[in-house]
This record gives sequence, C-alpha cells and structure tokens, in this order.
Amino acid sequence: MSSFAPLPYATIPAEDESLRAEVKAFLAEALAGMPAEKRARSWVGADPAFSGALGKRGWLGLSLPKRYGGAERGFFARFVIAEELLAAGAPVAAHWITDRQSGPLILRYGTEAQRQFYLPKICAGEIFFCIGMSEPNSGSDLASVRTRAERQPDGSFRLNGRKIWTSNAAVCDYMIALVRTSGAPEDRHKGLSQVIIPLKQDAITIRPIRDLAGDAHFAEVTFDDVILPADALIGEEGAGWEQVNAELAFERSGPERILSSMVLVDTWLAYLKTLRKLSTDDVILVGRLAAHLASLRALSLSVTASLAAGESPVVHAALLKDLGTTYEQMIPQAVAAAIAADPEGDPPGELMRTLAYTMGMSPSFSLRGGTREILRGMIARGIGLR
Amino acid sequence: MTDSLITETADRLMADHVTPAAVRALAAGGSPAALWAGLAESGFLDALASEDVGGAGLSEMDMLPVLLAAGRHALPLPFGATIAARAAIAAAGETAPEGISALAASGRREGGRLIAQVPAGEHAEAVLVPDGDGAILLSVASATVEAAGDGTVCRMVWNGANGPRIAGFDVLATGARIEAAEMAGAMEAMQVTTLRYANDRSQFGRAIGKFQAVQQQLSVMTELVHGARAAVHVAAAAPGSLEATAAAKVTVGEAAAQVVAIAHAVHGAIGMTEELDLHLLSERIRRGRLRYGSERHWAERLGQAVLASDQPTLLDFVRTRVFR
Repeated sequence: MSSFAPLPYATIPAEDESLRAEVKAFLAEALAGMPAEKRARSWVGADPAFSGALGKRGWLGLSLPKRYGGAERGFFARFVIAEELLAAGAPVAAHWITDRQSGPLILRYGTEAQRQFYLPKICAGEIFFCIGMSEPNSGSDLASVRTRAERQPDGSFRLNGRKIWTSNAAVCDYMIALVRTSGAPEDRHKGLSQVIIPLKQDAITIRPIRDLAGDAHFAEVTFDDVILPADALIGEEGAGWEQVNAELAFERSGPERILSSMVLVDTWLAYLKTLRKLSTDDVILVGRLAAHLASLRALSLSVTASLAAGESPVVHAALLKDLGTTYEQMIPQAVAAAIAADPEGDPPGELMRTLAYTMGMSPSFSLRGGTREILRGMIARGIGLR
Repeated sequence: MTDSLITETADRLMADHVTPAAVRALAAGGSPAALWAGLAESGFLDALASEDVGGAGLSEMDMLPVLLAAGRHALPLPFGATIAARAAIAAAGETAPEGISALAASGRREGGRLIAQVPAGEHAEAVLVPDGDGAILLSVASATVEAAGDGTVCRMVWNGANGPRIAGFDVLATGARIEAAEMAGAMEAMQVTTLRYANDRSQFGRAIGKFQAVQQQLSVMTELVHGARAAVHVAAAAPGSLEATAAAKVTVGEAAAQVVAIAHAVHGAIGMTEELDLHLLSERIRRGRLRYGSERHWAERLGQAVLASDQPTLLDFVRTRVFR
C-alpha cells in the first residue's frame, strides 16, 4: 500500500521568469481589441498566423535542444509563456498540442532522422500536430482502439480506420495516432503503436464537427487505405500504450488545466471594479478564486519540476487535472450566481457572452484529456487500491 | 538539517510523545507537563529564532515538516505557536518566557481592560496578543481565563495589560499559517488511516477499497490532501505575504470539510467510536477551522486585496502577491 506522497515545492527559476515581461508586451499588442468572448476560447481557438508569430520569436519548442531549433530553455520557460498566453486568452490552439506534447514526444522516442525532420519546423511554428487517440467506439477505454496500421512486405504500413474528437485536425499538418499494429482489440495494451500521419492527402477525409458554441475545432478523421512509409512509426512497435501514457503526463499537468475560465474571471473582476457597492458574497468568491488558483499553480509547478527532472509524474498529473478542472468548472457556475444575484444589475454584454461561452463549454474541461472517472481510477491505482 | 532529516526527526519526536493515549489524557483534563517536556527537549523551540540570538535560524519552510508532523499526530498543544512566538520575541530583543506560549487571534481594548481570544490557550503560560500594529507579550498568570469548553479557544481578560511590545508582528496571520499547516498534516494522516481501513475492511467478499465508488472517494480525498499541502507550502515559502496565508487558510479550510466527511464515510460506524483514533484527527481539524479566522474570514480579506489591487489579471495578482 502506498499513500502516494506529494511532490516537493517548486518555483520558477529567475532566468525563465524573466521571459514574462516580453511575452506580456507582445500579447498586449497582438490581442488588442479582441473581445473577451473570443479570448475565452483560448486553447480551443486556432490561428496559425498567431502561432507562427510566436515561433518567429522563439517561443515554441522552448524545451527542445538548440540543435533541433529549440531554445533549450526547459519546462519552466514554457510554463511562463503558457501562463501568459492562457491568462490573456491568446488563440493558441494551432500549435498548443504540438508544443506541449508532440515535440517532446518526438524528441524522446523519435529516431535522429525524425527529430531532424520535424523538430526545427515545430520550433519555427511551420507545422502543427494533432493527437489521434479517441475513436467512435473507443473513448475512455483507449486501449480498445481499432484503427489498424498493417505492415506491408516492403516495410510500409497500410492504415485503415477512424479517429474522432480530434481537435484542430483541419488546421494541422500531421497526426500522431495510437493505432493497432498487431493483434486484436481484445489484446488491449499489447500490439499498439504510435505513427505519424501526414494529414494532407486524398486517402484521408477530415469532417469537422460543430460544437454547442458553434465552433468546429473538433473533427472526425477517416483513413481509407493510407500508405505510410516504415519511418512513420514513432518509438517502438508495440510500445504505444506506454508512450501515450507518458505523453498524457505532459497533457494533464500544465496551466491549461487551471486557467480555462480565467478570461471570464478577469472580465467579471473588471465589472466588479466598476460597481459602487460590492456584496460580501462577491468579495468572498473573489478571494476563493484567488486562493484556489494559488494552490493549483503550486501543484502545477511541482509537476513541471518533476517533468523537467525527466520523470513521468503520471498520477500527480492526473490529480492536478482533476482538481484543476473542478476549479475551472466551478467558476462559471459561481460567477453566474453572483452576476444574477441582483436583478437590477446591469452587466455588460461582453461579460454575459463570455459567461455564456464558458458555461456552455465547461463540461468539456473534465472530458478532454481524460475524464474525471478515468483520472480518479488512475489515482486509486497510484494509492495502491488497484 | 535537510528537509527529510527534519521530517524524520519530527515524526519520531511526535510518535514518541504525542501518542493517542497522551492526546486523550489531555482532553480528559490531564497535565501537559510530561508531553511538553518531551517536545521541549527536541531543540525545536528556538529553531525559528535567528542564530545571533541563540536560535537555529531556520525558515518557516524548513520548519514546515515539524508542523505537518504535529498535525499528523493531532498534537493539541500550541507547539508551533510557541516556536513562532519565541522567534518573534527574540527578534524584538526581549527574553522569551519559559513554557508554553500561545498566539491570540484577537485583542480588544475596552476601558482599562484587554480582552483576547486565545486558541489553544488552556495550558499557555504566556500569550502574544495583537495590539496596535504589532503584539504585546502578556503573562497568563495575570489574566482571567475562561475556556469556551469546546477546546477551540480561551477568552482571556487583563486589567491594565502591560508587557513587552513586539512591533510589526502579525499574530493572527502567524497563527492562521501554523494552524493551516497542522491541519494539512492531520488531513494527511486521515488519508493514510482511511486508505489502510479501506484495504483491511472486507464486505461482499472483498476489501471495500476494491469498489469503484469507494475508490473515487479516496481519490478525491488524496487530491484535496495534496492541494492542502501545496497551499501550506506556498504560505511557508512567503511568510511575509498576508495573501499567501489567506490563500492557505481558505484552501485548507475548504478541503478539511470534505476530507473529514470522506474519512468518516469510508470508515462507517466504527469511525464514530471513541475507541478508534480517527476522531482525534477530525477533532484536531475541527479546531483548526475555527481558529484564527475561518475560510470565510480569509476569503473576504483576500477578495478585498484582489479588488483593491491594480494587477491586470487574477493570475498576476496571485503570481506577485501570493507567491513571493
């Protein structure tokens, strides 16, 4: 039995913290005039030109080695930039997944040729990746994927199947997909591999799926006899499950699992500051929002330090994501109750539209990247109950 | 000393002296003398005092493991408060009194009287009471003491209070920070105890910890315990930040309610018995929530600070005012 100890306290090194002012100045200009309800989309809003501008400034692939075009700055530099981008509500979706997990994945598991081919373009903001995990019949039960990449006699793969809920597939150049390279779905974790799939080809159909807010960042991606060269395989054949789980530690631990409702918070705070008299309830809610943000940030910094040390803090990341998304989801509910507590209140339309968007989308916060129930199952395993 | 060495030393100290029997004996009105003597021998009492006044010069972050360990063992005496009081008194050039010192949550002057609410004041010989922009050090012998009777707080009244002044020492915030840390420790012990019980107790032919419904609750409990630990880390790293203390007391206080509820839910009826030690921890946590301002008090103060600040975003506020 393990009670699963907390990670040590970690802080941002001064040389990484020093990036912040420059990022703030850039964002103040780049986002000027963008309404809050648009900024509230943040890492769901894709703008390849904006991502390219970040690449030009050297703010992508920060943790990657210089020989691949990276900044070799480590995970805390990325943390600082990520915080600023998310708090400001910058449209980061085009590069977000690429920068967060595809780049580090290729560095960790890729061959030298793969690293040299992909990483410099990732750092320049020239190519974008999406993740192919979920399938129409494979959601939380990820190990049941059916998309198959069959080895051909010449070493290439023939790919058939379908991925769904793929964020930003339409603006991405590549997908890193979890596929079955041997065995049957009953074999579960065995026989799964990760492959890099160039998306812009005729044998692939990308069908956008409109979400309840009217956006189409999701897509369904169908592979119909796609031929992949032998070097499409990333990492080891059959080790896809372990690789995907290591990748999920990156996916689940960042500031994006804390800050998804922050544009709403700041828009609400700006409104509160215009009021002549505040209710005690409102002031208390503001204090609670600040308090929880502090402890969540500390947890995220600790996981970042663990990743920086080359560890794979999968369970700590799951724990942070569940706590963080609970916070993110509490915000629109609490802010809605606060705004409408006074029927004579006259909140600005921009605030109400931002609230409507955030409230509508908030259920997804604890779905994307692993549901609450899956994460709590992982924690149960981490504390020795499974 | 390194962090793990302090943790080990503190855990051994508490395990040796702060036994469930000792905690029960105190609750039954026994004398704290033997227990205090054991704690005093540890050498931790002057750990926070600077080296030039004979202390060990450790930081609050260095000493956090001691507070967590005290909480894990549900120590009812103001050990952490005494350590903080001694450091503040020494820093002001005064001599720290012998024995147990407490930190008052409030001090109110009314005519010639000073009325203080003193958490864990039952056994204290001296008290630091908030007064003006600092504190005043008073002897309990010259006060009328009236315990609330629930173990949380004592009301102390001095006629013509007179004592050394400790300028610039925020007694309430220091008390809140210590209390939050000890509560976080008690919550950790609750999680370990509850986990063990879930593995030991069998129903329907298997350990109850094998049921998903129970697992999900224990996972949530673990998350809250980690969140509480993170909050007291932040506060210990920035003892000069009132905002960090406020954030810790809010986060820990809110988590405490859920952690205690889950621990008792998983234990079932046995958790309600006097015999099991679980209630020593829930009682320690209950007292902590009521002492030095609850989460409402601190959330309101923190909220006011946010709204009065000119930081452009909440993240900027937290980054610059809570993390220091």
